[in-house]
Amino acid sequence: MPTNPITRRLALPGWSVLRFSLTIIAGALLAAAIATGVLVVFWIGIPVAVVVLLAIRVWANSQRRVIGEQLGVHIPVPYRPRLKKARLDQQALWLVREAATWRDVAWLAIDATLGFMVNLLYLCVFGIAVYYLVQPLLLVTIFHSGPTPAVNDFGFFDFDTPVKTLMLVPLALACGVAWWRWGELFLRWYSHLGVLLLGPTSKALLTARVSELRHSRDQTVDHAAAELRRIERDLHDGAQARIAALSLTLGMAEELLHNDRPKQAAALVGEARQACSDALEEIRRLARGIHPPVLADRGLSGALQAMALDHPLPVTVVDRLGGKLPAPLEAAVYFATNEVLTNITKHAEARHVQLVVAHADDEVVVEVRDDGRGGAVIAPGGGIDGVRRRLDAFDGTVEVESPEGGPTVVTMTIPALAPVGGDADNGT
Amino acid sequence: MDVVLAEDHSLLRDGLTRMLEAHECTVVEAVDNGPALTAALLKHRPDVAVVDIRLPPTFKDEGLRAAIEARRHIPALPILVLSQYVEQLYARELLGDRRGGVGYLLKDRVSNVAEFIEALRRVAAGGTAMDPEVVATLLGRQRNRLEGLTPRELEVLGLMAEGRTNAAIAAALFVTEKAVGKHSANVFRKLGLGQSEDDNRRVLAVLAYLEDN
Repeated sequence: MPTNPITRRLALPGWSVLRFSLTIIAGALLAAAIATGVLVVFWIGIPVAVVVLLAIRVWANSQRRVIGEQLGVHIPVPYRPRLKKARLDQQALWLVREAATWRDVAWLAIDATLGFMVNLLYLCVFGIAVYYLVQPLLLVTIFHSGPTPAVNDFGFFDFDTPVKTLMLVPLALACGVAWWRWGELFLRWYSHLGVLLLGPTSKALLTARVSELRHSRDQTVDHAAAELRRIERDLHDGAQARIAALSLTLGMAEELLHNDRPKQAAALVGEARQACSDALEEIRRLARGIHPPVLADRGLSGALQAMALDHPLPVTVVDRLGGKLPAPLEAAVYFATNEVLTNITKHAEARHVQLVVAHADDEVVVEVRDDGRGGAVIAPGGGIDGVRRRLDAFDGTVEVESPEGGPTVVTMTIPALAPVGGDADNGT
Repeated sequence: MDVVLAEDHSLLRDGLTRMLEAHECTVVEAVDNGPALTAALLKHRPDVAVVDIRLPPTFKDEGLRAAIEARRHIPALPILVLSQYVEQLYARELLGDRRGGVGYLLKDRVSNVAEFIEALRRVAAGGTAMDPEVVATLLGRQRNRLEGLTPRELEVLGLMAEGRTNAAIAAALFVTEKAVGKHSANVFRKLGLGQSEDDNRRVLAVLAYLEDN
């Protein structure tokens, strides 16, 4: 729908014709529905009912699109997921039990009757305006000799000559003005009625939201459990093993000292020292994977700067955050960004990376742009997929724009309240 | 040498005190929190301070901040910062005022006593002691600009960035000091840096070059 009011009003008659034809279909469907209602008593009614109800859904979806387009809104589809594999009568029962089906049928009935009349009225007013305005000209020029059209016989007066048809021009003008000024409002009012019945109820919206939350919570719990297992395993196989070996080495050194062999003891002690270093390094890496110290110390802004410095490619950080976010959110953003940067190192063949983090409209937006070869896709199990799963727990989203040849832009969005306070050291 | 020590872990504090006193240092004060550290630094003006980054009350980077703050009041006060982990970001901040007398080492390095004391003396004398891990990351990022250097020259560059003198580099690489001098001259020439007699300025120049994007 054009945004310019003038072009919009000029486009409306076309839309109205479309709506009008949809109301005719609605009428047919309504008749079918009533017939089905009767047939259900017999067994044949059930498959027919499924077909008819599905047809009504198709029609309702097209209504949603058309009305949504006209009003410039999005009308979400309120249906719950259908079981595809059930028996025919179970499917019928499923369809019948859903409230949305009956609201569709209600709209069907209203559209077939009221909608029919509304659009007809609109088109008639438009038609009258156009026709009677143009008619005098046509009669004078083209249909000069022919009889006047029957339309002109108004019963109380027959405008049978071209001159008399001129008297109808004021009527045309009046209709024209009416159409121009109120036609659109009239149709919009009617469409709003449609939105009431076609959109999901607040109950349906809440139900959908709850199941979305349940799903993401399950994923988060799984993820957390897997992480804990990984940490336990790393501690057990890595650091713990090293420290055990270390203890052994020191024990042997002790024995050597008792047996008066200081030189060999010194060698073992040197080994023990190295093993200590290795164990510390291992634990350091582990701690970093759980919660990087710099993130705890400096918050997200500082941690991203540190990440940029540590990255093998030059990374420019533009930090427009201006404050701190809740710690779990900062950790999620940190690790997500880290995964994106790792991905870039592995696949992108880039030379420069730009990282922009900002807060706007109750959302934190992180944009990672690289000048690599592009062609990145979100493959299941891949790096970007991991990012998506991390952000899911916070209702965040990730989008990838990656044409062949680059550049690639990965945009992560997470809803969040405004950052708190302002770090005095921002912009070091 | 008079040393101020700041470390909140008591075992480590005692161990460091003993090690320092065994190597001709006097620990004039050993503190275990940020505010006390600032006070001690300003009061004693030690020859060098050994500071843990993570101190109470916030257990964030108190030690780092106290060090930078103290150097604002006492320019070029030699401070050696120890940490369980190294971040390039912190190294950058420490070197920010472009004066020598700064060190940033992993706590693990303390276990190699000889090297630690050597680093400590270097910092007290106005030199620099950068942890090899920080230097390695820096070198890694600058791979493109360092392409023209031979592997030996890269090694020398790395050790220079840590802040070591030519003599120390020679000892570490098992070559003569003259060879080191030759390599370092080549490095400076290839990177387009001005040679400097002053070791300290040399290190700062190298680090500045490596940090440059």
